[in-house]
Amino acid sequence: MSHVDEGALHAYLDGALDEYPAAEARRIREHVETCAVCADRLTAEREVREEAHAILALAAPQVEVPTFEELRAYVVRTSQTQGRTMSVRLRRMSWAASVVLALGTGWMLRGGDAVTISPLEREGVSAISEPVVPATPRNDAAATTTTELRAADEAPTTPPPAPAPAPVLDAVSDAGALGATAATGLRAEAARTPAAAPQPAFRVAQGTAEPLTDARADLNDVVSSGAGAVTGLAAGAPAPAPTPPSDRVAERIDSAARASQAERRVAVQDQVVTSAISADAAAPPRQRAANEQEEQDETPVSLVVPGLEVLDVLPVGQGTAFAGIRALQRLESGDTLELVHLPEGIDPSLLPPLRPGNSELVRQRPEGWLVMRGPVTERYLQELLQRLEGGR
Amino acid sequence: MSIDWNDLYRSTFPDLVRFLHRKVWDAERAQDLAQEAFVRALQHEPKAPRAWLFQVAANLARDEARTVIRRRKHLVLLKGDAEAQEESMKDPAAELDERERWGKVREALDAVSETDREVLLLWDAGQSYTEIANATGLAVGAVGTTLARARRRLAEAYKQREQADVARR
Repeated sequence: MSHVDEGALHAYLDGALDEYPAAEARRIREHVETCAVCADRLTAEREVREEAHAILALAAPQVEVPTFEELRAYVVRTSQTQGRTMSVRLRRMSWAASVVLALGTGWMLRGGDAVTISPLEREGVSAISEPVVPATPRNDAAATTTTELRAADEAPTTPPPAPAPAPVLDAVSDAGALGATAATGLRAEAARTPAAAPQPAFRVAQGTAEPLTDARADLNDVVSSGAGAVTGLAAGAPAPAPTPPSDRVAERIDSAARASQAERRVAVQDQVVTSAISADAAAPPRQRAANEQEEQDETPVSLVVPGLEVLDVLPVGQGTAFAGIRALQRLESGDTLELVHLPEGIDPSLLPPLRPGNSELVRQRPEGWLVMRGPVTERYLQELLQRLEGGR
Repeated sequence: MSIDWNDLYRSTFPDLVRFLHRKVWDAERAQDLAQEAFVRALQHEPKAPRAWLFQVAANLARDEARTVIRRRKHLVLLKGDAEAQEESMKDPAAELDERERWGKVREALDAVSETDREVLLLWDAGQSYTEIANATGLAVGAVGTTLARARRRLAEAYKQREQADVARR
């Protein structure tokens, strides 16, 4: 009598034999229960099954379930507003208006343009991020967004039966149009700007003009990006120079990151900054004078404490507006040090409250604020600050 | 036969989120997409809603993966509402641990072939062999074989990553 195959053993373990033809299911059950070889195999396969289950359980998210009534009400609302079907989580809707506000105002960098990082969220339309990395050439980001939504709405090709295609979504088109502005802003800007016009001072901004072909980038790149942003903040959108300050800082940060032997990789996709800082020529005279003064005073800024492993460097923001850089480093003790660099004008008290057992050091610097937090003494934070500033 | 949507929603939503999370690797986004799938289901009222939901969810996730550059939730660090505060209050170390853990699982899943992975995730999200067969085009009898292969490959790949991790430290 031939043994049962491993697929049948897994069906047995999964309680799925009832879905097999009855005779086949009976044969498998009888064999497994009487064959010593297959009993051993069953034990081995059970272990594999449990192992796989345990691995998947490691990545199980906590699920928050809005009530069905909320969902129903939302569906009614969306159908009344002509199919804004790309929904956001229900509990998020209360602050949608603030996102719109953030979109409208952005965060003004000393009279410069708002530097936005994130995709757009608008009313009932969820974040349909900028299609920065078109897998295939796309001419129009708004069109792309709508197309992709239609594609996602397409019915399954296998049973169950296909639903009718969703209508064209006005709101989605709106969001897509805004997204197009954000995502293609640099390219459009480059096309409009004469060759002699000043280039954006931000390396992060420049970076977004290039297609991101890899979802992940070396941490050094990310650190460099962050450096660019912070330098830009410090320089107040300086006029172009032979060696952009952001590059100098980037070099320093690259070096720090190398020294720390950072091996982790983080997604460059999250570092997208989609708008350039306005050139000096656009600034009012008083602002230009201030910029010139700042250029003279400019000192490269270090984002991280030299010698500590850099775990992550992330942009932070308010709504959709970019507002600073957050770096995480591993302390010698294994604890995590958090450094938040905020530009002038962003109040550090906006940060979440300090966690119990953590100390905080807030320092005003020419380029804005540095907030250091960690489960260490304040004295130790001061030492770390000295190390960081020693690397300036 | 009328469908008890309320019941279906309560029983399926968490499964759908889990399924989507292993595809988009962002818990918040997975919830958004699961909700989106339900919104569409309520609008279309398909005859086999559970299977339909998973199929639409898979399409949404695929679409997301192709076109969307996700903003990271850390962007809301300064956001003033309670939700953002809660997000930002996460212990950075715990946050990193979670991401590391998810990263390893993700890499291990990436080592599994696409069809095998799909079958594995559908099974883990509570789909029956018949539903999986319908969704993937496999015969019911082939689902067990595919699952056996996928589970073994996942376990091997995860072990390899753990060993590499230990060797690095």
